[in-house]
Amino acid sequence: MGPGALAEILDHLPKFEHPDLLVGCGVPDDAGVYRLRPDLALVQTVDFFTPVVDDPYTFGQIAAANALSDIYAMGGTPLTALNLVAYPLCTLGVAPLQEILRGGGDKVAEAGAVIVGGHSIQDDEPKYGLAVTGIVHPDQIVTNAGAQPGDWLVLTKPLGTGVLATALKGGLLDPEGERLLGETMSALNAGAARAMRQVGVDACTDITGFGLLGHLREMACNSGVDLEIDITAVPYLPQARKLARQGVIPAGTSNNKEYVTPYVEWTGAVSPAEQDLLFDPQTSGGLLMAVPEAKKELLLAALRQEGIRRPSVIGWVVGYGAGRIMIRGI
Amino acid sequence: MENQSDVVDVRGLACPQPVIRTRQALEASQQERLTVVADNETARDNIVKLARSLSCGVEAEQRGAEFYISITKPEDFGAALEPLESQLFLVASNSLGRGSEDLGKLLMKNFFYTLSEQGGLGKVIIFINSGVSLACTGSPALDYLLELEQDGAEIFACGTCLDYFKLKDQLSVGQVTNLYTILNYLQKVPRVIYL
Repeated sequence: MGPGALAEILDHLPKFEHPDLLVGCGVPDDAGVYRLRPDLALVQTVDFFTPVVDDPYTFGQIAAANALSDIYAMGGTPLTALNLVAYPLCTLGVAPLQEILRGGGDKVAEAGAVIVGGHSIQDDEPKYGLAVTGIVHPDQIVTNAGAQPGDWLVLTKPLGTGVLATALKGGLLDPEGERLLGETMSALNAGAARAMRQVGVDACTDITGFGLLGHLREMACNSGVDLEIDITAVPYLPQARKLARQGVIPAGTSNNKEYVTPYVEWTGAVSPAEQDLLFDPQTSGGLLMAVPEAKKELLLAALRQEGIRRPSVIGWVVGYGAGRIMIRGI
Repeated sequence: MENQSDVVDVRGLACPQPVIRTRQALEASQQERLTVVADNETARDNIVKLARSLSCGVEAEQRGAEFYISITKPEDFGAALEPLESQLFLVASNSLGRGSEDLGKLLMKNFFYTLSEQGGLGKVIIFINSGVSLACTGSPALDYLLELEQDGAEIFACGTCLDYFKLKDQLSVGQVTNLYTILNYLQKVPRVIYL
């Protein structure tokens, strides 16, 4: 669902308040957090979607990684997960569904969590995902609202899954491109989260359906700061820019553009393809962290240690403000 | 009287079919012009991007709820579909231009950033003198060069230069080469661009 439509729906939702509700719908974040004890809080999130790749096992892996990511983005550790399945059993048969669930189950096991159950319904279009529960110490919650002036913005996965998935659907992606796409989308953000907890950051969010600029806007707005992004520092998946230039752009990009453009300023030259990619809806994207200057190099080293191939310093927090984002081109 | 043009109807098609059908029609059609009928702005925008990326003239007009995109193929349309002719970039310094070395280094970084957007096919990049540092660990252009190489660019760094700057074991992209190979490429590749 596009950010504009979602915001309108959330505006009309009843607001819940409770002394133990540490993170709820009031200030939208990646997951909800509810305190159980002074030293323990529950983290809850849910995510599901339609297939983005052809192989059912890989789809299961990607959907699970995507759902688990929100727990990591809050600084939490996943514990349990429930399968959410919508599936046309009569048309597709049992075998692909078994593979989807096997993919999801393997990814949950990789995260050190367990699948405790699930629910399935008949649907013409297959959908899969998870409801995930994790834990976090109340003092160690990482929200998207803590970014401070002077912080650096670090991104742990390249952009472009929307464009590449669209290319794949249209038969325009070669096998190597498909393999890289599956690999980046099914990679868990567990290692990035470990590095984050080890070093300490001011804010974190994961980059998913609203695109880089959509999620940056959330962080900027909730933190009360303005951001600046260096276009040459933003990492893209191979072929992403070439395909974007050829008009292979997913439908969600225009929703994201419409919602975030009022808060974005452009200076210098930014190519149309790169503009589109900054709004490209990501599936199971990386973590975006705001880290103080003194800890930047430590964080980068810790991320590399955890196997993050290209942690990128894409920009910084310029100062307190109304949540504006300036894109500095060349 | 309008010239003859083929018409492609992409109304009702989901992304990325409008772009794909348009591309297929452009490749198959013998006519100079193609008119595409779409029913949403996203399809219109993406088809316009496709047309421009193939060096076609393009105009879009809205009539009610529909969009009529008129695409005119250039004379050498066949060439637009082929990979670019081979280009060789001889990079003889890690700084682009004269006047300020700091600015030069920034320009060089931005140059490879912009180049990497085009993709690597048909490109040969040869680093000599201080240019070799751009292909080594810590280079501000390294990510862009790796992307170019992954996309088919051939990248070389002069061995004598790497030795001189004691960077031989820090080469992070491309291969070590010598002046015989460099001369061969300089003479063979049709377009040589000296930085």
